[in-house]
Amino acid sequence: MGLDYEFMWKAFPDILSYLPVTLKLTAGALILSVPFALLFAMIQIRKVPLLRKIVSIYLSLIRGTPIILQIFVIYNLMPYLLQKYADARGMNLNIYDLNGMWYAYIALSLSATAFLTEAFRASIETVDKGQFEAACMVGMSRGQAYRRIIFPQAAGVAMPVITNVVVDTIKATSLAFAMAVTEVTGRAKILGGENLRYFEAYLDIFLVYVIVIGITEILLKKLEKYCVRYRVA
Amino acid sequence: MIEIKHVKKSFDNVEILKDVSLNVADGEVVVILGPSGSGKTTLLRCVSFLEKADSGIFSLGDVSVNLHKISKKDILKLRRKMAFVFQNYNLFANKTALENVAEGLVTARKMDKIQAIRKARQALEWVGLSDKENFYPVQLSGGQQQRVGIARAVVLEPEVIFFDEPTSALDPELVGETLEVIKKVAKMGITMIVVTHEMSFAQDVADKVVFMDGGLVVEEGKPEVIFSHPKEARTRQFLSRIISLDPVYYI
Repeated sequence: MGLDYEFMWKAFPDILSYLPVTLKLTAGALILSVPFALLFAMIQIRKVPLLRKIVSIYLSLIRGTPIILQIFVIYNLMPYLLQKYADARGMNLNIYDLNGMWYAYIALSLSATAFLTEAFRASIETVDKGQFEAACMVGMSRGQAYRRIIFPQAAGVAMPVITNVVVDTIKATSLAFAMAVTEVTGRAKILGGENLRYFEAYLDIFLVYVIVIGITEILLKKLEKYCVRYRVA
Repeated sequence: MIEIKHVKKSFDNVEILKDVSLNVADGEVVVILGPSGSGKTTLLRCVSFLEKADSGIFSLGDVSVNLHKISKKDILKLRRKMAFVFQNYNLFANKTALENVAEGLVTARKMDKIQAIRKARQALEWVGLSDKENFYPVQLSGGQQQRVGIARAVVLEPEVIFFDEPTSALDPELVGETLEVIKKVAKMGITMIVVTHEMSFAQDVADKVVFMDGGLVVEEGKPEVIFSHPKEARTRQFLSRIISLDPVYYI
């Protein structure tokens, strides 16, 4: 069996035209995750009673289950619950009209949030408490001390893990096909099926992922260098 | 005028401060001496709200607060009048020397940035570090870092500066330059409370020496009196041990 290079060549731009969906899913999931992860990390650091327990249960649940399972749960359970809620409130709403993208953002952000929470918590705790005290003693409020002194240093420490989470999220978007969202992998499956040229289609997306993730890693490495610019010499 | 009254503090049922009271007049330089674990540092941390005392009253000027239940607002208000120089410098690692000094002015005091930078430059020059303004803390020696720490405190023009063993973490060689700068601060007339083991510094600069042990003030008085005619046996014992160790640098 020879490779159908012509098909590979023709399918490539078609598959590439779904890259924006992949990127949008990644960006959406991450934008949704960061504020929650920061909140959860602060809840753990400040040892907020009760909430801290809830966060740690959430972390165990997410870490202990495969993403595909989380996707199935979100995609099947959430619309059902939302519809029930809407009906009970007498709202004239058909939840099943909602774009699958929204379920994908939420499902993908679940695990990104969990791993970012851990990254943020660990990195914030590496910054010497003395600097926080010094910030307080020059008159800064707690919030100012975190924003100006602690978070910028924690960011540098967290960058390698953040890079991992971003890359994992890009890869996890390939599961969005299970939610009827067609992105790069989904499109390759469709094209491969239509032409019975699965292998060629998969080689195409192999290339797409390697390039996209390669570029992402280079960019994030640059960002990391910027974040740790004060660690000179 | 600073009044510290009946401050008590325990950590995990260990009483660190049993009942400490201390008055400091405006412009006075008070040096607190005492063995490790006597509660010197804890006292400074309690009156700067870095630790919450179990009880006690603290007055600075016309503001008087209960150290056990003080509001965040009062803490911020009182901290505007004080500054702290730490044993481990605690410079902001992500900021240059100049930014370290300007940070409090810009962020906390909302001073105009250009004006703050100008003031910060003056303060750095004053501690002899004009040429290091764009250096990050990791690029500075311990002595230089501590001088930045002092500039960061002085630039705020506080009513009182607390020094918590400012030279204890330094190489012996770097102690001198740092003490010189602290002496300069003393000459400015800012009220200072200094926890140190530098006996010669205490003799030269202090208006009052306080000897603490076991969470209590054992004895206080003018340095010439405390060093030559201590009343309490415990003070005598402590001083004889320390002064015989090394007359100049005891760390």
